[in-house]
Amino acid sequence: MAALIEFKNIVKVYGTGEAAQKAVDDVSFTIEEGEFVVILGQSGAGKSTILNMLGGMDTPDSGTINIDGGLVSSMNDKQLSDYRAKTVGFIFQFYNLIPTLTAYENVALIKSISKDSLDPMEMLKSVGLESHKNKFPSQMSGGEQQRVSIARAIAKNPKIILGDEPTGALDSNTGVIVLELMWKLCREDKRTVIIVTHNADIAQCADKVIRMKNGKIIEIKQNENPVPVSEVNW
Amino acid sequence: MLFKKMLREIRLDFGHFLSIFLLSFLAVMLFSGLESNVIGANQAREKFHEETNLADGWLYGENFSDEDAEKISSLSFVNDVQRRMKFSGSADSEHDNAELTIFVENENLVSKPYIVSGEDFDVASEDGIWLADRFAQAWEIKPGDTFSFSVEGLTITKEVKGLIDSPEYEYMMASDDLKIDFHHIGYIYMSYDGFPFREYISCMIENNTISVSDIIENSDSLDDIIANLEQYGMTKDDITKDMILEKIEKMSEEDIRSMIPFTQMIFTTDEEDVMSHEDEIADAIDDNYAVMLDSSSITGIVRLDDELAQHNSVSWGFSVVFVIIAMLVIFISMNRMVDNQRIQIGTMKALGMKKGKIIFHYISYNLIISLLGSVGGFFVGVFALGEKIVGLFNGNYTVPGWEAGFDATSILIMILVVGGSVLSSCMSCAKILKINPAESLRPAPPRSGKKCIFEFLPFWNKLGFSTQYNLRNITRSKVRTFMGIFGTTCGMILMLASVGSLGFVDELSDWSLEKIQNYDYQASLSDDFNAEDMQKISDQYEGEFVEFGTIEVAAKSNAVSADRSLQTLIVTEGKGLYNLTDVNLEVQELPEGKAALSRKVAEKLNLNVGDTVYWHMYDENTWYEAEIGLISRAPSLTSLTLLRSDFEETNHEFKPSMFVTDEDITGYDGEEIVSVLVKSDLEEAYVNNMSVINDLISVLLVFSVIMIVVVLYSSGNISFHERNKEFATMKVIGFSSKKIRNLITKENIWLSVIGVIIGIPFGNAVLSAMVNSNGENYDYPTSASPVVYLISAAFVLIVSALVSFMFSRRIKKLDMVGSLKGME
Ligand SMILES: Nc1ncnc2c1ncn2[C@@H]1O[C@H](COP(=O)(O)OP(=O)(O)OP(=O)(O)O)[C@@H](O)[C@H]1O
Ligand SMILES: [Mg+2]
Repeated sequence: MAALIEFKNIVKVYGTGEAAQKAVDDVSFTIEEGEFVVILGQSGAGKSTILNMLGGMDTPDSGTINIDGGLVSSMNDKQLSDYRAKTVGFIFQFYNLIPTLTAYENVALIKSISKDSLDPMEMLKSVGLESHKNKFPSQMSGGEQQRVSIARAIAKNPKIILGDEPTGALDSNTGVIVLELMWKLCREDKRTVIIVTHNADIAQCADKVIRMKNGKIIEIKQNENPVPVSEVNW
Repeated sequence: MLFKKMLREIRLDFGHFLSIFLLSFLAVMLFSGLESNVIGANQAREKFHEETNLADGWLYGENFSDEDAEKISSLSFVNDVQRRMKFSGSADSEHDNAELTIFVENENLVSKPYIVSGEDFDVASEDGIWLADRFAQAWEIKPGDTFSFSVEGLTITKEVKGLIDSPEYEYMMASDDLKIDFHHIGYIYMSYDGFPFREYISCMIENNTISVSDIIENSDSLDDIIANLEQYGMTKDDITKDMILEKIEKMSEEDIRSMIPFTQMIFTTDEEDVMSHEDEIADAIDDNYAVMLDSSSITGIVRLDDELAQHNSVSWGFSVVFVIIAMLVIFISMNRMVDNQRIQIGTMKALGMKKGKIIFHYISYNLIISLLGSVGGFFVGVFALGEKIVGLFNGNYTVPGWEAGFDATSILIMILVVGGSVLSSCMSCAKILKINPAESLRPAPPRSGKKCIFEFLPFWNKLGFSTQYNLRNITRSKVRTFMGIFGTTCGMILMLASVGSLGFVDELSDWSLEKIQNYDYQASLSDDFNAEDMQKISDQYEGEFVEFGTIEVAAKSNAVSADRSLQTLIVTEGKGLYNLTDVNLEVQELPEGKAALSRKVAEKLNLNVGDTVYWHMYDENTWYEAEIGLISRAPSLTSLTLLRSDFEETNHEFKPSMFVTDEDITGYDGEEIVSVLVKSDLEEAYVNNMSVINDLISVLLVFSVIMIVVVLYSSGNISFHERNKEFATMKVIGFSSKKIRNLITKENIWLSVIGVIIGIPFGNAVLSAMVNSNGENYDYPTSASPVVYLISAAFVLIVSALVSFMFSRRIKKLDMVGSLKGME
């Protein structure tokens, strides 16, 4: 069976001429369905760039991205938004909720783009925020906002969940709660979860760890016995 | 460093700063440009009137003596007095027999001519005349040329000593002209010593212009002849023309001069209201005068007064609206811009930057941009737009030194615009600085409650997603919603005001040329037109005779001047060709035995249908009364209208000046008809008459369109800028660009339509404020036609849709990664 995600010889260059910089330099990897993947690397290594391409928000300059049987790297605008709507859920470092919508409404937003979306109230419950449903983003803590953003990401019932430093703006306790949620999405709901992080501790929970440096992959490690998030001693 | 930030931000948010610049520019330019004409005119006129010592009071009478002048002069409120003679004459055929008014003066203290070129006016000059500059320019007559003109058949030839402008002739148009043509009208100032009185009298007697009895009645110069005749048992009826001519030959210069009366006495005063002193004047000269006027009755002055008033109300109306709109938009967009920088401001404060420095930083943006815009607008306004508008007026009116001017108000508006935008940024900045940095580091929560009010609607759940989404958005971001509505509201106001004004011109044309002047041909009748001629014409043509006269009307008999109103008397035959329209602009028949009075006069005199109005012919003292049967309305003429039969009952001969008919009368051959105008001539004249105000409104329309585009662009820009991240997020979640665009478009349509609807009453208010502040003679309708609403609304909605389209097109290219980086 083919891998769920196949990244092949991906190059992404920012700028032109003298100032040109390869943010991602000939990167290839595969990710199987249901895997919990952690991408590690120092700042500026190209992690976010890769994740953005996985999320259909950015396109590579060369190379192919194959996800769930679709050639994401050559999709047009319309196909890309369709892909974003159905296949991936994105979780940002800074949550990016819509400020004029309440927690519930932010999640319910998904109903209008995907017919197979899950019940927003259920989603909020699953992240433990049913009591906050009428709050606006600015009235919630960072961790709460991030949980709403997770609820929003899973509401469309995506195969893949992407998180770019989802715990980056949170304190460690809150971060653990968020990570546990994501772990459950992977293990219980059988979704593929890919997280970019600076926190090397998370690596022990991952099925696969991708290490990057200067736009290149320096190591891909398959973890035989990942530790559940709840058992890690943070 | 902060300066760098500023330049970079200006470049990044170019649209925002461009709109601030354009708004300040447009507001100041329009205000100073539109006003510069009126200001310049007022300044030039004040100087003109001052330099020429323009009269404040005009007394017309049969003969004013030197003593009369002295008596007036001794009144405490009178400054200068002088007498003068006024003759109507004409130029020779080489100069199209142009209409000329000749002033003959033995002193020149009041209403002195302004010398454009040549010598100063000299009341002792026997061989020279001073000719109206506009007329001379039209015919290329220069000082030093000789010029011939005739008065009562007597041809006088003199040297043109100077070219002049008279303050009493700021406006002039030949009575047979349909549009101003300075080839056909002019005036002459000349010395009393240079006027050939003897030839003049002889000529009049020879041409039977005056009869023996006229002379006997008006002068005692023939008393000795009559005494002589009586000795031979003859009476004055036996005096022959030759006898008088012979007598005239022999009379001394002094006696000759005494036969020609000074019919005018003009004076100046510092008092505001000259007419209130009429009693004292009348007492001083024992009621020995026919009428007293102030400048509001001098056509040459009042026409410009009216036109300037009209221009002023139009330009004030527009500029005030422009300035208010610009200020509001600047205010809101500054506010939004600073609000959007909330986190940056919080960061700067958290970093320990002083409040004053932060505020200064944000103020400096606006100070620089709006100062640039305002100063630029001021110069372009006064020196480009203003001069253009002055040019429109200068072609028709004559005021030396009339150019675009400015005064404290223009500067004040500039300060207001710059100060307003600085203040708005200052205020919003201070507001953010007041909250503690920690809080300002997060976005502000929407102010409204948990649910938007629409969610309580029973059918809320049945509404589509985009409707729900937009309703929430609209209720929760009130300022943005306000901006969206406000933009189109402003657009609608401006469109209604300008398209509405233009529409009026058409409506007026329909009113005067279709309803009132319901005929195809209009013949002017000769001065000596009599009953026989009338018979002759009515034998050949089916039509209606109309007489125009000058009368004074009042609410009571023999009212004092202050309670009288100078009006046009219209006498019609009631045949439905020259019509009356009522206050609703509908044609109405005047019932026999009753009179129609114009609405504005009726209001002024507090009269209504059923009341009695009193009137007297301008040159007679007998008062008549008439019952008002109709309150009439005409666009630019206020009048008392009588039917011929009723007029004749007052023992006046019906002396029509016009014959109107649907039959082609152009071929008529006879002295009785002086000229014939075809409907198309009238229409052309009408268009010409309205041309200045029409051009002005067209200019305003163009600027309104620009303003609408700028305002809608600004509000679109603010809204889009603010929602950038929201759209990026939606895109990431999986909304297609098309769906987001639909969402925006839908919201935009709602807000635009609401804005247009709100704009209607405001636009109407501005329109009627402008239209209603016209001169006394004007009475325009005040509601625009449905077409005007349709055009205005359609235009505003289209511009709004285009702007929205322009911004929403950017959704497709929206850089999700870039937009979503970081908190801001
Ligand atoms: N829009 C852009 N224009 C130019 N260069 C960019 C842009 N976005 C990213 N880069 C460059 O690409 C490289 C990779 O950036 P990326 O955001 O992927 O790094 P990262 O690994 O996510 O780092 P961090 O852990 O700090 O978030 C960086 O060197 C960055 O400077
Ligand atoms: Mg990153």
